[in-house]
Amino acid sequence: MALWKISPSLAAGNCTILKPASQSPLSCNLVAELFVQAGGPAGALQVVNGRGSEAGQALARHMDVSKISFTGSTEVGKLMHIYAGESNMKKVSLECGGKGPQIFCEDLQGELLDRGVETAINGIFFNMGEVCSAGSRLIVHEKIYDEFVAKFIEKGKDAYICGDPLDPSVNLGPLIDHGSQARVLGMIETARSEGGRVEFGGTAPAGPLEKGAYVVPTMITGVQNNDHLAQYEAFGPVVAVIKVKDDDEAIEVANNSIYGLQGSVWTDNYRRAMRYVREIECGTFLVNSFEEGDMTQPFGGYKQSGNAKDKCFESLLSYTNSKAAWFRLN
Amino acid sequence: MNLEQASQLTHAQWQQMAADLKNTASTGLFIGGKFVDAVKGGTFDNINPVDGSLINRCAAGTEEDINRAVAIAKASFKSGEWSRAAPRERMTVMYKWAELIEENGAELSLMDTLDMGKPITDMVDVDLPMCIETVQYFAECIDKVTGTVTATEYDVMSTVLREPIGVVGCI
Repeated sequence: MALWKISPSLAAGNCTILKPASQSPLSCNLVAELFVQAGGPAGALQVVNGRGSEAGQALARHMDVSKISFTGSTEVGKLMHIYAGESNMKKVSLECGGKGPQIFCEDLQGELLDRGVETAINGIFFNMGEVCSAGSRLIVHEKIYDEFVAKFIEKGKDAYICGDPLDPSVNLGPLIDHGSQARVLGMIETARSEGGRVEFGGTAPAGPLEKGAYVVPTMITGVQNNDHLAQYEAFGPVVAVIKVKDDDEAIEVANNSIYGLQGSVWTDNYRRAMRYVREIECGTFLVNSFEEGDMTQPFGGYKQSGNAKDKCFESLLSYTNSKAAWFRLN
Repeated sequence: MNLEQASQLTHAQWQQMAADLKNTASTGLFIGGKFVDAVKGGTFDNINPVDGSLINRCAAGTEEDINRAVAIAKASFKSGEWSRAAPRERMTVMYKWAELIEENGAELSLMDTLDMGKPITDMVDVDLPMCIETVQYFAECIDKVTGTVTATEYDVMSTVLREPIGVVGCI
């Protein structure tokens, strides 16, 4: 993910300093060492590991830093604007959280419904749900709700099994740290207390994995959109299922969020699909698909998901300044 | 080890590589092209979320280290060694960089799996190919950045140039 930021910054000719997440210090060091081995100047890419509250804040407050490109929580993202305002008005580019809605319409049936269910399972459980653009809210029309939930349980319950991430056959590792595990398990408990029904998962695995920061893939139905689990990002393998009666309610629910990163709609009706594309407030919206795209497409949020656009040519331009040069010739 | 070779490794081979990596991975701050200790000498524990065990201790940078890195970055920017290099020169470095990332794909995958718990197969099959594609894409873009010349009266030439910003911090 760091390469989504440092690549366009370097391509534009900037001298770039990376402060990696404190949970993952090692790979950024090697990536920077390889840049110098490739012939890059030593001053063009440097890495300073450390705590966000110390090294991160010092970088964001520095008077000689002209832009900060931040990836992380919405809460810390807001601090970046404060640090910029209290120092040198540096540009601030943010890629923050999400609570991605995936909408499943009443016309779905057969192969397209099956594909939608399978895509939804991968859309939330891939990488332990630690994906800012994960599809963590499934908004399902009431006409197909029971069938959708039954299929999701059948196919999703055992699709991802916790294990040692060094084992090439394992598709689900622990969360990034034990603090994240505690947060996610706490959110599951809150969802239960608000009336959500845990269809599967909901716990940390017992036995040999109990020392790890694992959370078993979890499906919670009967969630209301103003419940905690529907409004706050879990950043874990927990999916909330919300029942709606029609397109109007689906759109209202999907947009009732501080986030707007990625969403999708599943339907066989192109006019219905186009309405969702126009109405849903998010930076990436997919029809009958999820988590697809390529380098040419902008990746970034609406609302409090942030103001950055990663990948794409526009991203490179965001690491440049335009200068007006006016020549009087007479 | 490159990604093709990495995709052939067994669980036991990854475990052996992980044991070696704990002792060989660079844990300093990468400032001015060298790995150095933090000015104040602080470190933090790098923990494996699989079992809460210590992988290694990494230098914990503070404001003093940021000041040091920013001073070097600012001097580099002013020198023009990167910021004013011909687009093709920057492209050459970045393509080579993408190659080296691919050649070290196993080590990079392993580092993130140890640090974050991400399944090694996802690192090798998804994350590293995406990283390489990202570097290559932005390398391709470098000489596609253009300014404009706008319409004016006869005795004026009006241009808009695109310039790098300066020192950029990524968090």
